[in-house]
Amino acid sequence: MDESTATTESGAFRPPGERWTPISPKLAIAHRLSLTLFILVPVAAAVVFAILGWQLAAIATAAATVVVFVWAWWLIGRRVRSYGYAERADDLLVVRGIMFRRLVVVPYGRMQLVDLNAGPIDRLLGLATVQLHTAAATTDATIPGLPPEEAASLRDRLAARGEQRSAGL
Amino acid sequence: MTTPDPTGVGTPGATEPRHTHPLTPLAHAAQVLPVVVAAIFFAGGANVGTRVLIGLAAAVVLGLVIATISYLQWQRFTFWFDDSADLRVDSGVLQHNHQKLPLSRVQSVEVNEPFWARLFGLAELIVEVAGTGESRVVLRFLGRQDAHDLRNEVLARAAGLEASTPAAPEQVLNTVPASQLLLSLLIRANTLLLFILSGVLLTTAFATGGLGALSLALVTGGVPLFSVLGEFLRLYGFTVASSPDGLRIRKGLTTTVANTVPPGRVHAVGFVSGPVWRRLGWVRVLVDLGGNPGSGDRNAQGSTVLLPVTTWPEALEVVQRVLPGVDLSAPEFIGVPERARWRAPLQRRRIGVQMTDRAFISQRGWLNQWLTVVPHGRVQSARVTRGPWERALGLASLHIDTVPGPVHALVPHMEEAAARRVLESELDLAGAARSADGPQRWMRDS
Repeated sequence: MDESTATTESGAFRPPGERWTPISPKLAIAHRLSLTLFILVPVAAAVVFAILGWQLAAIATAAATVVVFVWAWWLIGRRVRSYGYAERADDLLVVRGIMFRRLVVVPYGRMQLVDLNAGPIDRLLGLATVQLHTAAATTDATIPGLPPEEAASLRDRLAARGEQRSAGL
Repeated sequence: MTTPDPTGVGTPGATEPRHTHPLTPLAHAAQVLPVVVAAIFFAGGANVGTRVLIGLAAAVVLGLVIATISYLQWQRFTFWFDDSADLRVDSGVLQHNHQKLPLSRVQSVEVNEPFWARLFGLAELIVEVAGTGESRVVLRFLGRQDAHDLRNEVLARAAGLEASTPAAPEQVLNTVPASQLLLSLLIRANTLLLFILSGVLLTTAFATGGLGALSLALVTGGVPLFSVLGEFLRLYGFTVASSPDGLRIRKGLTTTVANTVPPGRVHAVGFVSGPVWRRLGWVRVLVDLGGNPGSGDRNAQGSTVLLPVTTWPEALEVVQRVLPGVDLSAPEFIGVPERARWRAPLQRRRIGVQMTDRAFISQRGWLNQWLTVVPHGRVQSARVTRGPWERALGLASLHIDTVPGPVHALVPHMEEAAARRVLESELDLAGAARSADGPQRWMRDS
């Protein structure tokens, strides 16, 4: 299911008439890389069981690992596609999640800080994360998986609008 | 104090550097007394004389060490006002430290009397200004009267008045009688249930002669007893008074606290009442305060209580002072659909939201019922969330984010489309309120 065409959405999260920008599908590569590294632990366990001659345990572990791996692989794709952001006249909208869907709206006048981060895997793949902070700790507006140029220009646009509309606390 | 004087007219002159009270090292050293009691109590050997000796030795050694360190610090600690309305502090034994607090940006001035300092007739003064980093000065300790005088002087200088200006007149709005406070703490539903449980356990313990139930009763009865006692000591003698520089709050039995809440720092107000309290028409009022989050350390929890227990009319009267013009009398709330009962059968009828011209008002909760008020101009951001249950029912929850604090403005399980509609109207109202407020310089850097 492609969330960007989202026919199941009744309008609370992505009502028509807003220009939504998806994030880079390369974020899925980064997440799948972490998944692959993580899955090596049960794989190693299965190998150890096989060497010890515990056939049943080895097969059960391997089967469970494969199921989890395939499911997580598929889920990562959906999760990344579920992200989106929209710049409106007075605020920024960020939407994400499938099972736990959420929409965050941050008025430009309330932004205190715009962060631009890129970890080692992110840099390798050419990705960056933009995070918005307000005086509320619960704001939680993070846009991962942006191409660095897009992230930098987004940050600059947000900072400029924030400066214009800043209203103190 | 919310109206800084940018022109600096009437800035009073500089003062000579001053020390804190000479008894300060002794007051610090006195804090080892509980250690002594513990040492006497826990030191092995049945001989009482030995225990007392060990305790005294521990007291002398520890007391001397602390008194010496504290004396050296006291010697180096001086404070004064310079001629440009700043409070300056020089301190540090090994590493020299200099602090300069611009009084025109004062956020709060607090006089505390910690228990050990009180024994010596001492108090501490805490001055906070807007800004990050070293925005807070603790003068520990001053004579009680001296601390109150200095507090007035700081507030007067902050307003650009003569240093000797008497304290702004205050009008007491509400005092919480000790009996009402104690009763209110004892009859909270969870406390009450634990006490009943302990009673049942004790009865069974005595009836059956089993000691397992007895030790369990000690926990189920002891924990709530201690929390009631702690809260009672902290909130004893709670007094709210109104003065030109904001609401003045005084509280505490062993450690007393006197602080000022400028109206501009209140970002959200929450009224909460449990099932037993509601029978009596009682309510607690909590606030989210802007400014320097997390700097209230020891009293952080207490300082967000605007009224520990009161009746609704009295609560509304005090809230009118911090959120002037907010109307809480409108009866119609936008509710949640019938099908929300599959997600929240008990609180469904209680959930509601309304937007007046000044504030976002929401209510929720079944056992502990909340009514939260956020002025439109204080909304930081907004969220709509939907979990799997809500998704199946076509529901979504609306959250209004405010500065960190105990109040959470939240409307759970709304009709999905309605959640978005309310969100958009709130954003419009918040935007309009922001532009009407204009930039607030004195809060800008916090």
